[in-house]
Amino acid sequence: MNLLSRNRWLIVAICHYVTLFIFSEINYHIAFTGIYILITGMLLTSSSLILSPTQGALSLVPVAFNIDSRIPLPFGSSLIILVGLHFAIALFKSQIQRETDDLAIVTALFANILVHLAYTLFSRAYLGTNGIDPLLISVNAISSSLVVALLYTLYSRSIVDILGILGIHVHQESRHKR
Amino acid sequence: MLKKRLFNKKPFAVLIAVAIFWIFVPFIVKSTLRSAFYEFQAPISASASYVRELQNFWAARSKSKSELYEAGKDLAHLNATYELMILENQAMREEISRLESLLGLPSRPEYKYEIARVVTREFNSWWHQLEIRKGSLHGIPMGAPVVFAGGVVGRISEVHQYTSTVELLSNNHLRMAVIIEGDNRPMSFRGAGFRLFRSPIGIAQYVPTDIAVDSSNPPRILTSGMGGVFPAGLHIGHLVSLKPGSSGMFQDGEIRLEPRLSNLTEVAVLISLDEGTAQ
Amino acid sequence: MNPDNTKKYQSRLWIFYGLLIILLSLLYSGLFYRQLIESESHANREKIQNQRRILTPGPRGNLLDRDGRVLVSNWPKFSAVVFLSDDLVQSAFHNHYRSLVRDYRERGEKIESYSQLRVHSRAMVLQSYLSEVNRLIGRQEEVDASDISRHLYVNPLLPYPIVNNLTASEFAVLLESLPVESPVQVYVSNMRHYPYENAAAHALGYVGQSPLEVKSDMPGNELKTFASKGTYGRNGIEKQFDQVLQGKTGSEIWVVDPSGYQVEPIRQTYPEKGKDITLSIDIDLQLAGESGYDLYKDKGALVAIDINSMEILAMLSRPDYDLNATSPFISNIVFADISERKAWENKAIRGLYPPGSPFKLITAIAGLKAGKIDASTVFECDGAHQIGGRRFPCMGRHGEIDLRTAIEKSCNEYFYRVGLATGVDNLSQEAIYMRLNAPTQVDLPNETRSMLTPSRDWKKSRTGEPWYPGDTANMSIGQGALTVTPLQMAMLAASIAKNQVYSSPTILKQSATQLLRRSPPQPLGLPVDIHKAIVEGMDRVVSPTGTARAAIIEGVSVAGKTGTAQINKAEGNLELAWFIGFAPVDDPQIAIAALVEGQELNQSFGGGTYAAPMARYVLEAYFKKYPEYLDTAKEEAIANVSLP
Repeated sequence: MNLLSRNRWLIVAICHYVTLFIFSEINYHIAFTGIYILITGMLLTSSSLILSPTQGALSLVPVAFNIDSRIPLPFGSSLIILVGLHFAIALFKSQIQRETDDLAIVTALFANILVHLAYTLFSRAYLGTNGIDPLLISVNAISSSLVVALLYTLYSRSIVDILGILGIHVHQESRHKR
Repeated sequence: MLKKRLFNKKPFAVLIAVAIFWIFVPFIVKSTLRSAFYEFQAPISASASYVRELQNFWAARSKSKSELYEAGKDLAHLNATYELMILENQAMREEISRLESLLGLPSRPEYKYEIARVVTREFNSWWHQLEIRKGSLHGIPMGAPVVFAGGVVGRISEVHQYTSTVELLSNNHLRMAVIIEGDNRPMSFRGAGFRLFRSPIGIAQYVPTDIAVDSSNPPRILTSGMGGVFPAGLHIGHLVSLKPGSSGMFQDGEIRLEPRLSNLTEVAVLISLDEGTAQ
Repeated sequence: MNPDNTKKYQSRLWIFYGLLIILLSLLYSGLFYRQLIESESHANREKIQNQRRILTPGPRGNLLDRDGRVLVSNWPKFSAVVFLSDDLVQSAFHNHYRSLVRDYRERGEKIESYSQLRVHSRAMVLQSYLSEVNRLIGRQEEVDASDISRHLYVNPLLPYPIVNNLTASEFAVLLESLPVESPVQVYVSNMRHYPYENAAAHALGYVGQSPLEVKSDMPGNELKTFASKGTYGRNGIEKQFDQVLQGKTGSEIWVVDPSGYQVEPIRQTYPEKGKDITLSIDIDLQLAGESGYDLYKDKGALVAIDINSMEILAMLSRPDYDLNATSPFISNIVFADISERKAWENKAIRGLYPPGSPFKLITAIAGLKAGKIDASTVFECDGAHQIGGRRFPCMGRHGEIDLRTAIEKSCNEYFYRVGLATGVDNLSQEAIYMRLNAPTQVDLPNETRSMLTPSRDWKKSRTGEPWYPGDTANMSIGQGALTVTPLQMAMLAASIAKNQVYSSPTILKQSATQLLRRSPPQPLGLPVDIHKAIVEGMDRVVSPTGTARAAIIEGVSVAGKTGTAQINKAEGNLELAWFIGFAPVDDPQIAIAALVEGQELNQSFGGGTYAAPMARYVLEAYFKKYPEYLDTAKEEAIANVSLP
């Protein structure tokens, strides 16, 4: 395994960074509607399903830190949420094996909703319940899920393709593994 | 079989190990890591804001001469109005200071303004904050009040080198003493988030029972100036509804905040001249 | 084992099985009984162990004056408090306690008392919170360790106040400077507030603190309950209408942990404010009266009544006290001060005084009604009247004098003669008819029942002696054993004004329906021309030649009667200055009685000099407020006179 292949998590993390940046710009422009698109579930699922558990976790750590550095929750909250969910998905993947690709979008949607739930719980604990509006959370979760449903396949394929361009053929590796 | 089952549990073991490890990481390490990550990605956000300005610039460049001429004319009118207002303000300020010295009133806190562009807006279901393009290098202090033409925006909650985070008025962690226009009894204000496609809102507590809400002319809520952080008389929003409070002595109310809060592109940070920092 | 033994063994086994079945049946039936039959009571017991109820008193209703101005309201009492059951506070207590224990151990010292150490650590933690609050608001408060322990023992669920009575600006500073999640929070309770301080202090009354009354229909009655202190009216309107003013108690039910600290709320009912009461008091008139008494620091009482509705417009009693000093509770210093000044008593309804010369009006009415005199009866006044061996003096030598002039000059001799001619029985009967011997039934608590109209029988039963003509002479001029309250004297003025006998004044503002429902007054029984003669005499009293010149008001004709009564004390006589009157003369609207107590013994204290001006303050305020009652003819006459 070459150096690039060993550090593929970094490539995925950079992809996540760019995606987060794009969505932060989108959120800037749609802020007046009250809708906030959170695509962390999509990033998380793609890391979990494309990479190995360890590589996936490594790719999520910088993303989690990036998010954590900008939010009012205790530093490490996103790390716990993302890495925790990542391992849950990794376990799910190990149990299901072949069918994961078919269930990828569902997994991403599920993960995204769990991320919403986790942030809500953390906010409740650290910021209080005063400003939490269940309706708004539901609408945001649905809006984000729509975006994830539309973009997940494209996003995960793009990551696989980028890795492919760099000589890392994820699908072939998994076939070999089986 | 057992080995496989144990292997399956390995990710959870790792997760637990990571969580335990994280709990015991010293605070200083966490805060350094946080600052490092923030400062690392701050230029990217800031550059995005520069790019947006560039977009605006080119959008302005693409306007026809007649449009620019009209805009210039409007601007000239506005300038003339503002000059007049400046003169009026100057005269009023002098009158106020004369009266204050006559009455022997203590001097009010003086502030200077630091104008800053908005880099990101993060208004989600859980918190509402802005990132602005001015930081400790520009003398922005922690806790400083942030205002715009429509009143209060919020408070500085974090200061980085080139950027700062503004905790928005709608944030439920922001609390201040406010008054109803024309009434000097202080009440408590606390942010209460956004409602979908509607103005951000806040909650007023300790509203006196003799206050009633007329929906056609809702009472205006202003900063009280008594708390020492925000200067007096800044617009917060309008009191739109009331319900009995838990003490039975007061009412609780809902305040509709300024809708422009969700569209801000530029804000002003008030820096106290008396103390250097507003705590 | 042979078959016999086997059989024997099996039979013993059966016994064992039987016993086992019986025991198991007992066990299961017990279990069944406990789980199914007693399950509800178990659940209740669990509930009682796990839940606590907190009661918060509802704010009292406001008292308003007749124009809706607030006389008594509730003021928020802001405090900085710490919820001792908060997780953050609990862990701070625990950590501090552990560090103290560790320090002791490191130093090798023996810990005398762990519980004392716990108390100390709690105090230290709260002091650290308090120091931060002190820094923010510039105070120098300190916590009291024993007070914290007492609070935890008595009211662990209620917040512990570390700073009381925050000012508005302190409240604002704490709101903005303390983080939302801080263990120190701003808390509000309520206290009575009296914007007019001592005005109508006795009529309004004050409240005391008491354990909150727990009503049986409130939820969670079976639970252990912690209650903030409630209030109850201790005097005046606050006492009389306590039930109306009381707010509805709010209740919160909390789940608590085994230590008794609150975990989460289950049920909350907000407290509700009591009903407001609109009084008949007019604060403008009240303040006008108060200002008069303030001017000379006088003692006494004043009552003003709306003659048409029998509503009390002003009621004051001096010495008085600032009602705000009684809120939220009466400190020992305040109590001692008020007691020392003898300021607790509402003299308007509890003060018993000889009526003095104003009683001459009753003497005249009794004489007229008995046919012993008429409006034109003339007596000779030579400065004194000899009855038996005793000489009864007059204030002057008035010569031949008729009824009108006798009232104007307050001639004692005229009324000695009228009284003697009329007789004590008629005099007593008339005073009783005018309701001077019974409480007025005003809707205020503690009105005295000890007012006295003497009679032959009374004297006989009291002293065993017969009634002498001298007693009649004394009674004729309002002296002797006669005692009345200022409120009764105001009622007397109202009755004479309208030639009717009024009863039951009220301190509540009456609606039109209530006024219609009032029982009609009884006739005084004087023919119009004779009544007119008395009123004319009273009108002359408030004239440049009368004794109440000080009560003259421009533009209004005032009828009045001054008086000086004496209270005989062992160390000397205390003189009392009286003025009773009504106005306008032609269409009476307001009746008034003012009493000023002499400040020193044996000091001459004329009603015209001391009491009439007090009444004038109130009357002036009344006619300033209701100029439609000004006597235009008189006004014009005055205007013409004043022209050069």
